[in-house]
Amino acid sequence: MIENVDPSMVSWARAQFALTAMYHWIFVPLTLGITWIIAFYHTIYVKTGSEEWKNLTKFWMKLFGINFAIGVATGIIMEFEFGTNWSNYSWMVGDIFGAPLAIEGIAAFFLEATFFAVMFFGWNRVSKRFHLFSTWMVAVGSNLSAVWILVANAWMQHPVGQAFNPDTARFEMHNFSDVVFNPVAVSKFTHTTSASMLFASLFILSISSWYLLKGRHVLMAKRSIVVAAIFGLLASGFVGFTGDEAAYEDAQHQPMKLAAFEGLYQGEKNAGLVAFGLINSSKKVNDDQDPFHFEIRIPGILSMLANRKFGSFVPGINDLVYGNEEQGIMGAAEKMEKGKIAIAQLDAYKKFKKAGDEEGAAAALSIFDQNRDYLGYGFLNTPEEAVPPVALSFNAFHIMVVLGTIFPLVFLAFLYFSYKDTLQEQKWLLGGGVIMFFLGLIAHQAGWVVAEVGRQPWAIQDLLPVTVARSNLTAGTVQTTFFMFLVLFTILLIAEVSIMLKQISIGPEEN
Amino acid sequence: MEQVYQGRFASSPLAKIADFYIQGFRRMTVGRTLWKVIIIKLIIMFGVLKLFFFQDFLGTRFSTDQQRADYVLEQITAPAAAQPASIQGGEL
Amino acid sequence: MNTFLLVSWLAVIVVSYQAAVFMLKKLDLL
Repeated sequence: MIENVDPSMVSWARAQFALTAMYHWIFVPLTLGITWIIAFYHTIYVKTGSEEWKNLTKFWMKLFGINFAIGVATGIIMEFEFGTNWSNYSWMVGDIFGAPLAIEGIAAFFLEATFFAVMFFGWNRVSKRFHLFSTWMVAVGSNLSAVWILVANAWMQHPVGQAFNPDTARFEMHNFSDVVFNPVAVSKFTHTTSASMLFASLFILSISSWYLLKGRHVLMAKRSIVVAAIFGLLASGFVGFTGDEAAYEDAQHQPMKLAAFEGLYQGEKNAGLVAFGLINSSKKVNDDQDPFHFEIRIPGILSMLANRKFGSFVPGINDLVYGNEEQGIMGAAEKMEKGKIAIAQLDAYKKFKKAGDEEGAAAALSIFDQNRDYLGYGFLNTPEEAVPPVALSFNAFHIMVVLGTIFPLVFLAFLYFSYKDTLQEQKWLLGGGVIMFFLGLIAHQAGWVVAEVGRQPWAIQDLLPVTVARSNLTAGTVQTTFFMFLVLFTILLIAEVSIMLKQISIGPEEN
Repeated sequence: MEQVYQGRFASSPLAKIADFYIQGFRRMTVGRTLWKVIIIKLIIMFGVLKLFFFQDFLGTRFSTDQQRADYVLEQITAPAAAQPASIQGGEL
Repeated sequence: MNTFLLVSWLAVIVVSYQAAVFMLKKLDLL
């Protein structure tokens, strides 16, 4: 019974998923990005035949291998969690997620078993061309396997190509192509993978900066930096471009998320973008506190970002909760009425079907269909529940964007001083370079916080809230596994990072 | 010196591939430690966590898909079931 | 837009490699 749901169970289950997802997301972006850079290095080695380029390639390959091993099995835990903590959700999306996640698993396995093996084992054992081809395939394959999980996440944000089947209580896939080419999926894939390219570039930048500071492996570090900085710079540009696309998609399909991450309560035409702001984290949607302690807004920009139309209206949290008749915006309160009808008709359908009354069932189904788009709202108790955590969304978004603006400047600085051949003397820049990796980590995690916290309360946008998605478990069991994960991950992180640090301190083979 | 598989099928593609993998694993250095970590992790994930703490909720409680569907439907229509008939809305 | 995004995604990779090799040559680091 929904009424008996243990609210703290939902919180612990969310916390557990967040913990495992964030842990997973430390390692995956490095894999997705560094495989391209390694392919670049390997290609240069094959072109030049230089032993130094060979050692350089092998070194970064080794670090990639360590990172990959650390990341192994961090994803599968989340699939365990689907089945245990989120059984209603897992059942309802099973038909949609089943194919994509199966493809991902199978594709990833074959990729790893073949091309990875050739990449690592193939030095002097297979032809140079096949070896290089394998390295490129590792990059292509890992990025392609990321497609599927991102398609699944995009579907949660914008559930396309489906119809709810009341007999099976499942969202059934009606159009595979619609699901795969969901504009949110394409934007998410391009943004996430290019952000990973950027992140991997920062990783190489950081380690190479450290070597230059120590005066070790100087030539290798300089070469690594040039390639990483160029890739990072171009990737940064594309990250910004795809980020803009992501915000546009949010405005179209998840306006509440956009309003939250901009701290926009009162919708307006010619809406401004917050360049800098100290958000008031105690503000609730139905009080009259000021959303910000302090803010600097650039007028008009948010309207452009959200709708690509000058001066257009951008709905704020208040408009989306209480409605705005002038702008034709249906508020959460009205959606809740429709949602409650949908749930009631679903219940009626179930009862009619059981009683063998086909006519009654058909009638109930027809009314359900008219209201099915608002199904999720029927589960909310108050319209204010439709609002995600605003302060967290706002801060995460702005941290991500600020860092995302700094990174290309850093790459440019490194390239400039490389051009002047005075990079080794710029201790300040090299010192900054060393910490860039950690800033990249923060930006990456912040991005996912925006995506997932911003979509609350929805497990499936508008159709299924997180409180209904969960399993009927008590908080106790979830608490236990949460702490188990915490301990396990901490031990693993320490063990694995120490392997990485050891190999970094050993450095590449030198001739 | 490296041991290579000898015998009638020594030059068969399958044998060459197998040899490639076997030699590859033998020659690992850092890889050995990494594989140890991977194996330990997989044992903990699948042998302990999955087995004892992460049973599939619907999988273990019900034996047929129809039962699972019915249960989920019951869960999601519970708010309606709790309301008195007069405010269920729509035409019935 | 989908097509444009995917094509430019590929372009980032291809152009980066070419630009990197060009830069390395210019800096005598190749």
